[in-house]
Amino acid sequence: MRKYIIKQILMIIPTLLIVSIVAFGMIRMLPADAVETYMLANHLEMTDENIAMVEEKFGLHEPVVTQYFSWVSAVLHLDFGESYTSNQEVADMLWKAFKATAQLAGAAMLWIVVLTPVLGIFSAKKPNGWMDGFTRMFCLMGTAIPTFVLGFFMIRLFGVQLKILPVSGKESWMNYIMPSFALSLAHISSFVQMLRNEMLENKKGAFTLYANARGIKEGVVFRTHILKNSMLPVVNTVGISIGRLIAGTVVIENVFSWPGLGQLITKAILARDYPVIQAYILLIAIVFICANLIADLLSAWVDPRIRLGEKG
Amino acid sequence: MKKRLSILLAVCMLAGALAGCGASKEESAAGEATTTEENAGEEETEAPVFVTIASGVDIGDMNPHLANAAIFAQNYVYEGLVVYEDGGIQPGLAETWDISEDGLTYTFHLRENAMYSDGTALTAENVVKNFDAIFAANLYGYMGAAAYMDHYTAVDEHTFEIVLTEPYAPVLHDLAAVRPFRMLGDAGFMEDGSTDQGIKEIVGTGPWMLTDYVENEYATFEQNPYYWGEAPKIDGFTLKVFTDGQTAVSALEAGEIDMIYDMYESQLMSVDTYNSLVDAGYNSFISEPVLTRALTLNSQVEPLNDFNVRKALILALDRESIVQSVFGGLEEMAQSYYWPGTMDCNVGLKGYSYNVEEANKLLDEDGWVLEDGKEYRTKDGKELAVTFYYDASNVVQTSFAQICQSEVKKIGMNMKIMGEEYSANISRIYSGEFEIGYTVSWGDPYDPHSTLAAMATVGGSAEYFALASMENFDDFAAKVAAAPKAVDAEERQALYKEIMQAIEDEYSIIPISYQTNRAITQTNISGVTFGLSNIMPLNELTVE
Repeated sequence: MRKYIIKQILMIIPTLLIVSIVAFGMIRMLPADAVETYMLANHLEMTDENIAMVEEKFGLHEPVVTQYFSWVSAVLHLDFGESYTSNQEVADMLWKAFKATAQLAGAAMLWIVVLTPVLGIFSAKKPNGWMDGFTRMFCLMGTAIPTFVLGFFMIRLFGVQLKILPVSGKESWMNYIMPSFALSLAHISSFVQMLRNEMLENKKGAFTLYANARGIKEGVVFRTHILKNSMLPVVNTVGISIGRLIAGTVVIENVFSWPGLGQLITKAILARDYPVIQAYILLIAIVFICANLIADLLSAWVDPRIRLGEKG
Repeated sequence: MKKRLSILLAVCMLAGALAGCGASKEESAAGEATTTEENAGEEETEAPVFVTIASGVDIGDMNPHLANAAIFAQNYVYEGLVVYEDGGIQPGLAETWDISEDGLTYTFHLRENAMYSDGTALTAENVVKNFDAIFAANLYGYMGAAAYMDHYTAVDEHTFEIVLTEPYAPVLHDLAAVRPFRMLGDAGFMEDGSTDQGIKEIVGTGPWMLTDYVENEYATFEQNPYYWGEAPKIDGFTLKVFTDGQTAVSALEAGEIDMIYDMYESQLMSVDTYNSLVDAGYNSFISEPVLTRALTLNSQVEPLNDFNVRKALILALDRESIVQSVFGGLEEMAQSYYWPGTMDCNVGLKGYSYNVEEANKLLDEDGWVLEDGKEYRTKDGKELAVTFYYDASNVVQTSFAQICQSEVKKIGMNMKIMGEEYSANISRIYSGEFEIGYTVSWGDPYDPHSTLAAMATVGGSAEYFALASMENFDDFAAKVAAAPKAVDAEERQALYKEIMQAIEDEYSIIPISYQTNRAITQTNISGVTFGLSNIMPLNELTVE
């Protein structure tokens, strides 16, 4: 396991290298480049002189390869440069937005961690009972309804009609309820279905039959044999979903005016703000790598077979 | 397990109930629009009045000399020597000014009671410092006031003088624009006196000062205690950032915000939304025209380089119905590129008519034949086809494209419509790689002189590509350059008339409608006023 983790950590380097090259090249292939967009936003006349001035200001006058290497060497010194549109340090902008998104994703994770087992157990206890029916309906809706529709529906219901939750802002914990739930629902739905299937599968397993035969109480069999075994794949998938939660907030952040990464990257792409876009892509790559690592660690923690695998 | 679950459920329900209580309290506070209790010890019992307003954009860095901040927000804090209001130039920080007979020297007499929000006084030295920083940043060459500036000096403590290289009548218009010629207090400058790398403090002479700000979330402004003019009627306001119009409307309906004010920079309400809020009984306000929406035909490319094709296309558009169906009466159809109420623009243009018959005749004469059973005309085996490139995220542009497509079909013209990402579309249009594109004029105080100058400059605006094929374009450009330099008002008016007539005769810029700013407020709010296309004045706003 330790070897595996070290290997994963070492893999970060080539992965980021490839991601950085792709990111660097791709955004330069977008129609309308940074210089043009900046000049239009500032009403600068498109004279050669002005173009040269802006190119130099952004360091875009050098060949692309040179630009790439100077960017990489700056990034290695943790200098992500300045935004083209606001004179702010990219690292600061990204950190602020990341915090907001991470808070939202964290709240969504809370919903996931609480609701997944509850609903999963509900439905698997008595398959095809009314609770199972309810859960299946819930999951179907959760997967089918697009996030933004759900977001608007909740705003109308809880914000405008019932007036029990705030529509805007992020000052209090109440502001987190709607966006985080909307963000988590699709995840919860797929996890619950997964957990339910695993549990039904394990219920039929030989070890369950033996445990029952040994006369162990039903509840104990459920907890120690069925639930534990069923949680394993779910825990792993939940871990991996951290990446998707962080990177998948664009839509919900727009609906709830959440000042996170989704908003930041939307603006940056519109303005062709290269330093911000590049840093964002790197950050998301790192988040995904870390999420996978966390998922692996979680699995190892839940399942001793993985943890002790190498010794056995 | 069951026991634990039930405990968990109970806790959740309790939390929910508590949350409900908390919310209803907060809610009622917000619902009452905004009055909060004053600290004890204050003799006056009147509570300060604050208003919350939805904004589609963050206010930005609040640097008065750069373009990184929202214009309407800069306008709250920073003032210029003059302002553009009620269709003309009015005193700002300069109470009066004299213009020399040759039109080269402008002497401004500054208000002696004008103070910055940090308590320092406005002086001519400080104005010079601002001009130094603006000219050092070298970003505003497109403005005549920058291009024709010879030098400027502080004559005495309260007298500031500029001298131009050539007479340029709209210099006061440029000085009235929200950026860059607005004054920052001494405390705001960097050590080297510059502002183009940022400012140290946000200090202005305007009615408001920024007191609380969280980027991309909200900005709170309160009255500047040193403001020289009449104090605003409310004590302060908070701009709350909304990235989605529907959410902003929901917040209004939930009572969390008091007003949605749509202008050039922040647009949260579609026409339908606005109308439904009007029907729901909210207070509504519409401005006079602030700028013009237009379609630009690139006369450099086939088939639009053919005058008759352009004219036929324009004649085939029933603009009256287009404007009615897109704006439902909220905007008026535009008969000329500049609203006649704009300075120097009431020149009596005829405008374009709607005449499908005439359009068909023009195309027939031109050799574009509609063969039996065919949908579109052809000439020498080539189909009569044009492409309309538009910003697909913009509802108005999308509607225009779709309606125009069906309109020109009547005359056998195939209009392809191509929605693009915003930046890609803008860059395409400004580089002339389009056939039909959507543009807007810049509004006061830039119209008409700055927009015309951009039209006469290679690649200066989309309209350049519409006009460049004009037979005597150099002559046109010369008139555009000469008009603002004409010291005599009548002479200037005559030149503008010729210029605008030439544009109309070219049949390449189609004015569609005069854009308005709009606001919706809770029923206890009145006194909403409008100004330039991109500002939101709040001095008259009152809460009952």
